[in-house]
Amino acid sequence: MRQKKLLRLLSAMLVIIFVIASLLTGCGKASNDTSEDMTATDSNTSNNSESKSNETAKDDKPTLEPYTVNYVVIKAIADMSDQPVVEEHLNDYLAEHAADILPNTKIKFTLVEGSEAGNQVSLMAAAGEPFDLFMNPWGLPLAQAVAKGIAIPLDDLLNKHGQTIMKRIEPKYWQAATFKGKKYAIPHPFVYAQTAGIVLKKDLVEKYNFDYKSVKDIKDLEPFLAAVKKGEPGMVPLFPLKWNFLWNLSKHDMDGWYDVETGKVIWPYDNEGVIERAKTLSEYYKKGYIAKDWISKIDARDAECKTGKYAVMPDAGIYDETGEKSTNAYGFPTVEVPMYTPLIGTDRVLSCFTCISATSKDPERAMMLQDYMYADKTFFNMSCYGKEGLNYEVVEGAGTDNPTVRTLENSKWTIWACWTGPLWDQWPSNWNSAAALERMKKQTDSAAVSPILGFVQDNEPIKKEMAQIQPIMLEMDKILTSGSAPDVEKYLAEQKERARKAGLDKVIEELTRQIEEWKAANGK
Amino acid sequence: MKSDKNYNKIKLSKLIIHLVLILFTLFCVVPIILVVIISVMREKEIFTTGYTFFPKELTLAAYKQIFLNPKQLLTSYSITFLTTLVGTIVGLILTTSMGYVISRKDYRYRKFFSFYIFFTMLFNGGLVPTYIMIVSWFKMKDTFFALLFPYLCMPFYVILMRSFLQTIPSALIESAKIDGARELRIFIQIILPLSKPAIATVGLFIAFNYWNDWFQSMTYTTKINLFSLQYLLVSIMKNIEFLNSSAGRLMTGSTVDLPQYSARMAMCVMAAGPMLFIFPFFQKYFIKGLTIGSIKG
Amino acid sequence: MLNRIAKSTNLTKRTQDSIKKNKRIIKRRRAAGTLELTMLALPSILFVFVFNYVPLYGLILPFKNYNIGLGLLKSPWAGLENFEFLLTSDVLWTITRNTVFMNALFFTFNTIFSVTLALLLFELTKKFVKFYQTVFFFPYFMSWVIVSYIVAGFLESERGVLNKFLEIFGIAEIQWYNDPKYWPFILVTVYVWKMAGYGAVIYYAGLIGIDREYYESSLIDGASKLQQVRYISIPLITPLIIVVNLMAIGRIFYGDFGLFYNVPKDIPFLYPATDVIDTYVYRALRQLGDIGMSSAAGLYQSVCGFILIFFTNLVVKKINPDNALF
Repeated sequence: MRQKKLLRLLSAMLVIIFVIASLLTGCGKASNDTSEDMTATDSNTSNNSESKSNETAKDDKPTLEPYTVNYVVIKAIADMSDQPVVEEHLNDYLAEHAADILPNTKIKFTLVEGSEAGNQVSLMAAAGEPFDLFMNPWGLPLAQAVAKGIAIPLDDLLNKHGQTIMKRIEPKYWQAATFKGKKYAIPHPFVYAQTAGIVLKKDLVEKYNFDYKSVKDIKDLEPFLAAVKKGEPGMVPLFPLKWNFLWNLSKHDMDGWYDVETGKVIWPYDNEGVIERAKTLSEYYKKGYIAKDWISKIDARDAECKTGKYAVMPDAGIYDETGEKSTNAYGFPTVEVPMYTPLIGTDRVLSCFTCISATSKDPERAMMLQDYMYADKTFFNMSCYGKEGLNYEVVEGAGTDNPTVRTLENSKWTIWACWTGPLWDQWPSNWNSAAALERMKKQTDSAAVSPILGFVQDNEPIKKEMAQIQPIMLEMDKILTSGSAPDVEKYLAEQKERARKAGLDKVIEELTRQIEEWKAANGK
Repeated sequence: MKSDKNYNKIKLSKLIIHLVLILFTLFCVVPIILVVIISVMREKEIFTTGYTFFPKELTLAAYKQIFLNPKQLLTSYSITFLTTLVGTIVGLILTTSMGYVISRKDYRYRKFFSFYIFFTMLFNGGLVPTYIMIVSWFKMKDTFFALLFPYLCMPFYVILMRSFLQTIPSALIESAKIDGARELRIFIQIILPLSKPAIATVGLFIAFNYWNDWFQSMTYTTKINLFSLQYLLVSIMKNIEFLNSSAGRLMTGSTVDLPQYSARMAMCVMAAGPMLFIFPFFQKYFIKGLTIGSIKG
Repeated sequence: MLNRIAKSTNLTKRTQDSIKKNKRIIKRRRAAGTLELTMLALPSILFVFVFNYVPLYGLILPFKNYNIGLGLLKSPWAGLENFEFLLTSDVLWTITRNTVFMNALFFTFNTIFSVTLALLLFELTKKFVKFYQTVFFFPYFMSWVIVSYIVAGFLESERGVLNKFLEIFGIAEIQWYNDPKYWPFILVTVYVWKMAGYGAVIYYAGLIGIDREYYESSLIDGASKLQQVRYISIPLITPLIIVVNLMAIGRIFYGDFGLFYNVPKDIPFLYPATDVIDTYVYRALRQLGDIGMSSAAGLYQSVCGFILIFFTNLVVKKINPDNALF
């Protein structure tokens, strides 16, 4: 009897939910209608005002309705409380310098938390909140933003209002932001290729007279590691890190899934280089070069390196021939060995981009503003550095459009240049010196480009399989890098079998099909 | 003689109780002391010697890092204080009245509404519908209400309240009814005074909920003057991590290290510290020995 | 009851009439009482309806291929596609078992510790209670990230406090982070450390709600302290213990992500003991960022929890209907 009652309760609940759902469909429709109405009236009024202004004003330049472009960016620093001042400053500048190109236009920023940016932008879009431009939200890949209908196609807008952008971005890079023939994002010029390096402690290199310059791969480290193991009882010879020690992606694209030389999609762990390095690491582990508790320190890599008890460790983020960056970061003298420079593939080009939101009330104006950021270096840099005197000071070259500046301590405004525009337009500063920018640009320009640059993988047909394979890969990376798999070949075979059961064959087949299709469509 | 023996026995039992509790106190406190000590350790020392109870050198660098903008910190403290205060009061009104009604064994829809509340503990529609409701229907984005509303009537507390109030003898309510009292009067004049400990307990939990929250602040506010304390701290911490990370170095070109490990601990101290003042306020109402008889008379 | 009285005393018709009238009055009063009580709860009922029931339409999300541009209701149906990744996963059994088993351990040990602490506190004067309660509550304010650092401080193989301590007794260095067998114990310790103070406050409040008369009359009967605990305190807070644990059982398929992700540091060696549904789903969907699939996992957890609680509640109801949740 009681069960019956509860069942009745349950069914009542379900009825309620359905009523709500149907009510909501009504609501949704209603709000859609009103928004359409609003845009309709908007265009009416703008037509009216245009005709009126045509009558009254003598110049026949069409004036634009006042509009504030809302730019969603990630909070670069915790305290951005200078926001109102900077926005006012930027808007004054626009009114003064861009009255003819961008009349009646203002800019404002909506700041979101980096780690939650993807969710936040999805939520804002789902709620229909009006915003115009958004930088790439971490955790929401462009493919998802397009598939979910958050970003709109930009081709017409770019042709009409984005000529500066079109000129500044190389055609080959546009491919990365193109889905089904349409551009959905503006890929900002950035450091697409970053050499990965490993770092050796300088005093030990000198002590054991190790020829670090001849190191090509991690197996060449053996004599040095052995010497350290023997001669330095308090030291741990090796502290390996994922990318730099296990992977070499100079001949593989798509995180290892695509073999450039054979032009085939492969299981990333079938890569011979990876297998060989995994074996080397396992050997090092058995010989005691790697600490047994290494894996528990995976979340504190930087901190571990700073202890100074390792002879060989990953670089501090940026490879630097002189080892200076790592020396500074770790707090002891180091030398650096380059391991490899990755290919420029789609995912690298999409490290920094901007989209226009489907909820934008005026996409044209959004594009005009973004174009202006590419056209006016001063405006762009002010949006990044803030207001002179409050957030930064000019060190030299005042009055030019490329002064060298220094950010003031406790500045409460920052947007990293690559988030909203071309990094190469950034004014040299304490963030990046002119030389550093030059070097990064050179590195990017000279780096090898993946033959499938521009191919964007669509996970939709294989998302179930990918969702199961992803955790397997994460697991393998950790175990292989730590060298703790006693029998590498057996382990690799076991895991591959797991992946196969999760649908690896289907994934490879589907990706191959997508790539073939893409190649055919692009004449490659 | 006998009473003396009894007295000794009581004393001994008290001693044992204290011993056990002190042991548990140590269990709770030793790690906390470690947190406080790490918060004043130098980063360099943390790296080289690891966490220790006896650091060689003390520094307030981590606190300085957090206090870079004291005005903002103060704003966030007051936002958090205000949400906690208002949220606790309004939340208690909703929770207590609901909990009381479904605790009444003679209430006709008791089972229905108990289930009605419990159901929401298990099933929820996820963040998307809630966000749409708060932002586009109620227009509460960037308002104080977005921080307040989501925690006002939590099912867990309602059911907890129900259990507390169930212990009130129904005879008490019956006799009041025979005297002709209406339900609202019974609730306010008889039930509430009797359930001070229950209200204080649930109130304490609601208050902590508000005090610890950063998720609502992150989801519903973009203006820094509405950031709750915890969110501000989370945000400062994430920033330090970013600036110390390789991606951060790539963008800033900086190689300066900000205190990270000590700062995290310092933030914990700053967030939990004020609890020392909040807690006793509620404990005032943990009154032992209310007797039904005294209320009756 | 009135009927029985009427019959047994064989009353005259007139008095029977007056009883009928009384019954009507009582009935009317009861109806009025029901209305008044409903009105009293109405603000909360409405609030819960708006904030908890209206968003429930989101429960269709797992069955949809969500497209924000189209909106939730107009997005195409996906059938059970979104559930596949979880339900066909080769670790489904491991993660479900870990979630339920670890949660069961948490509830059991936390209840034992909380109740014991509350009973001990109950014997003390207010001054001491204040002190102890405050201290026991401190760990509750540590986020799981902080806890993970503290735990690492104790467990690190060379610098860790625990290994240094064991060294004194000649026990060789233990690699805590390499072996899953230690982890149920470690996680339970950490959980009790953080949550026992919270539980103790609940049960302490339950104890002070008990009518003093019980204790006074038991003293007259010459009951000892232990007898009081056994025959008064524990039976009277049992309903509270049952309700708190029933609510916990409803959420037994939800692993505390902060705990299971941060404290074991997401180390693959420890997965056999520490990988729960929430951490697995996080790893599986980190790159895909698919909201339909993640809500499918959430629904799986809710429905399993609901089935379990439904039957547990039936059992509780059989034993004592007053203790049941609904």
